[in-house]
Amino acid sequence: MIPDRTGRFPERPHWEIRELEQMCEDTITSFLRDHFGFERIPVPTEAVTMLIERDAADLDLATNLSDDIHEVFGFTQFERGQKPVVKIARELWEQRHRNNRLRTTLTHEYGHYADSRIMPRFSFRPARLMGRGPEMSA
Amino acid sequence: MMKTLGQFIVERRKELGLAGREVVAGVHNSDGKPISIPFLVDLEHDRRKPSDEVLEQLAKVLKVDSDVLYFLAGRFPADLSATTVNSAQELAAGWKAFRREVKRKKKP
Repeated sequence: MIPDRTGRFPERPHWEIRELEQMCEDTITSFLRDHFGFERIPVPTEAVTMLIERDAADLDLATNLSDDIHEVFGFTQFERGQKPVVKIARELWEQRHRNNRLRTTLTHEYGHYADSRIMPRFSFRPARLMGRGPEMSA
Repeated sequence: MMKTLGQFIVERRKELGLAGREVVAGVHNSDGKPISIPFLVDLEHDRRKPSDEVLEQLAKVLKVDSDVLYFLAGRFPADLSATTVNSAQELAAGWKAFRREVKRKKKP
């Protein structure tokens, strides 16, 4: 734990990049071994979607996530006591040349889920960030 | 309790361990091209209705009887359309048999 300078929390957990990479690698390789019986490199996009489908309540398409100012390609919606719902911008699925963006968006959104699994292990008092209702991570 | 067509498709796909891409690869539109992932996701969320052609192929990929998918889609299979049933009595008798079978299965 390190002090949090944003003022949102008294302190927060911190990992080195190599530690995060190891956590990510462990997650995807164990899924690949369980599902395919071996590690497939490069990781197929469908493996990432299946990983999300395993852990989220739903993986859906979303339209009009972006506006004139912000480009948003995915978000993860959390409701207390329920699995999250992940939505990915429809255009990423429809436009083949954006496959890399699709892959990074899928893994980014899965990261929100992974965060949500890890954070409750730490005893720190978060401030309410998003007001009432479901919280979303874009 | 039966589910919606979309819920059934996604549940069955997960039971078989299939990714969306694996399903769409085996289901083609009338132009011969595979259906798209967004189309499949729309089907799975009951936002769109599949054609008979798509539904028949989906049944094969998902290894289920296409009659089940027709039922969940609220349609009759092509071989049971209005032109293939000879009379109102025949239709009524068919439904009666269907209800009898459902009732019989419910009994402990």
